Amino acid sequence: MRGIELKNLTKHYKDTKALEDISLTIEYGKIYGLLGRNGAGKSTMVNLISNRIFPTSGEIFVDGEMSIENDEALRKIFTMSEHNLLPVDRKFKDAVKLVKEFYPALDEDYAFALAEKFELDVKKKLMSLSTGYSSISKLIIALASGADYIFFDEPVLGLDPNHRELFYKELIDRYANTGSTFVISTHLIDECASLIEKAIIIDKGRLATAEDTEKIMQDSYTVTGPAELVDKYTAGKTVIGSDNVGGIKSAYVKGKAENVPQGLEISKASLQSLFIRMTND
Amino acid sequence: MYTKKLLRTTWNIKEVLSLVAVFAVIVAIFSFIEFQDARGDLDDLYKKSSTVTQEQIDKISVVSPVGIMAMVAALGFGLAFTAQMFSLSLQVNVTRKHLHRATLLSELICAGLITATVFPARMGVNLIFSKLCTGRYSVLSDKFRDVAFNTAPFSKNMVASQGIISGILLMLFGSLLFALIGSLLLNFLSRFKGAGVVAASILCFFAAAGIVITLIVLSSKWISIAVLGSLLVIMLVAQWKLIKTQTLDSKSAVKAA
Amino acid sequence: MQINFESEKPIFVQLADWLSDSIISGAIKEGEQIPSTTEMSVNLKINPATALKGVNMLVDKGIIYKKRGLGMFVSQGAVETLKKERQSEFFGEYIRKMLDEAAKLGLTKNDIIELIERG
Repeated sequence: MRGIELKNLTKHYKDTKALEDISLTIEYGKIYGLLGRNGAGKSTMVNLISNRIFPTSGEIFVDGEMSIENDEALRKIFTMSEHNLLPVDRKFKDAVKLVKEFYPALDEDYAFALAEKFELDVKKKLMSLSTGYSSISKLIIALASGADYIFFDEPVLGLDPNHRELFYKELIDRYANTGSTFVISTHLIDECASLIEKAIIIDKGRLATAEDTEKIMQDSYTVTGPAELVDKYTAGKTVIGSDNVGGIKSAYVKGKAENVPQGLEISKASLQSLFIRMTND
Repeated sequence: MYTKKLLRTTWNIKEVLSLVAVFAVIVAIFSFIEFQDARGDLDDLYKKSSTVTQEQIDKISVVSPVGIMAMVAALGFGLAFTAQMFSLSLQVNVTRKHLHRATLLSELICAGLITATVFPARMGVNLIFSKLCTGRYSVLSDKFRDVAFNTAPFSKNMVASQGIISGILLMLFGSLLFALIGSLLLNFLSRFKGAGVVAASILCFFAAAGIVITLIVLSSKWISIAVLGSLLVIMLVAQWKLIKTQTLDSKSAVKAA
Repeated sequence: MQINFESEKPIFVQLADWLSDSIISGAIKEGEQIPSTTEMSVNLKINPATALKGVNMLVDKGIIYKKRGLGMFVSQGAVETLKKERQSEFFGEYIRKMLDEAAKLGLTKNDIIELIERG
């Protein structure tokens, strides 16, 4: 069975329950969005999968094999995160070669081609890169790594809009060419809603949903109009959340819109607004 | 395989060689100063009487700054390389089993490098002095060599009349111990915050000082070896247990500290 | 072409529609190759699986066919097929909506005919 499977994965710290009983499967060959608020547990989940921290209980399987402290299984995973874990005194081009020692499938030519597109000076030392270019150096290496499962934890931190767009496009291209699994953990949901095939939403350490993004969005809609009318319409329906601006109310409703009375407008809810409604207290 | 790769990628040959070169120069300079003092003391001894006993010569040697420097360098190396390798292992998904092996090998390499630097440097200086002394104190050159290798923090009794080989082995052993202290210190630093960091640092400092003092004070060579040996075993076990449970969280604590 | 992410219409349908429009208008001629799904997904910033879904929709209708190892091409007679399909959709898509709007505004059948002649 190809994929990363989490079984009842739990991580407790002294004072907090970072992840509680998470069971899900990350299939091979898809682009996932790992979404959650600050402190929801996204990074914890990525760190557990990458063997960077250990679970309190539960299991992680990579392609059917238990992955904790398992070199062969972990070889299939590459993770980029806010942490700068490579020796910072190395030049970018040397850092690429260094990673290739451990990930033989890393495509050096592709990495340098990407560096050119992002205008990254390959001769610069990692420690002398700006925040934005530090992120860029890391995401380039991740994209080029050749791993089966590639995790991006907040990949576009500090990137200007042009570079963010370039990153998404390069990711799609790389995915189309290699078929690896890409998991993007991010706050910028609307930016990448169109590229993620499946969304995993973590809320306060628990799994809120793991579903096709298209399904999430087709299964809900927004109804807008005078607050009273909206309330009347939504009575008895599953309302995920709502906004109220000067008497005009927008409700996010689960299901399909039917028999909509005059005066009410139906529209699609964006993944980001659905997410916000779902994870608000 | 991953152990070798970790080592190969962390030990950057150019950097290491230049560090060693700089250290060798410093050691040579300090040895020079030290031997000047020792020669002065010997001169005084011979001024007082024409017959000088081995015991009297043995008393000349004092705690050598070079020896201490070598140990501190070992500690520094231990800290630096262990930290770099740990971070790297997290990024390239190498398990702690390999990290541990690579750390151990690093400590051995580190101890070897320091010993290989200190000894030739000291021997070089010593040879120069022997040459200088032969002219004036022809009978002293042998005794002078004994003084040269009475290098603290190891007890004179361990080195005396054993010469070069035991001196090298002891320096190797000592560097290894201090490199281990460095690695353990890093681990403690990474797991505690704030006041805990201060406490851990003080603990390690006293452990190191304790080793030094024990070895200078203990008169029996075999007791010293037994003590050092036990310490080594304890530290190796502690290091393995600590590395096995090291996580990214620990690393964040280092940054916070 | 731009994908409208706000629209009710799923992305893969928008893609299929855009391809259909290009075929009807002759921008992509019958027998010609259409852009690869990779190319389209990169340019439109959408998931390749979504692009593939849109293309497959047209393959199912016989508008496009796949040539192994070469890519995807517009079928012969695709324009005809599309026009016929659009013509039958015309009533539901446009006429029905027009009649609904006209009813809202209180326009009579004669009013509508007058407006059509004006246009």
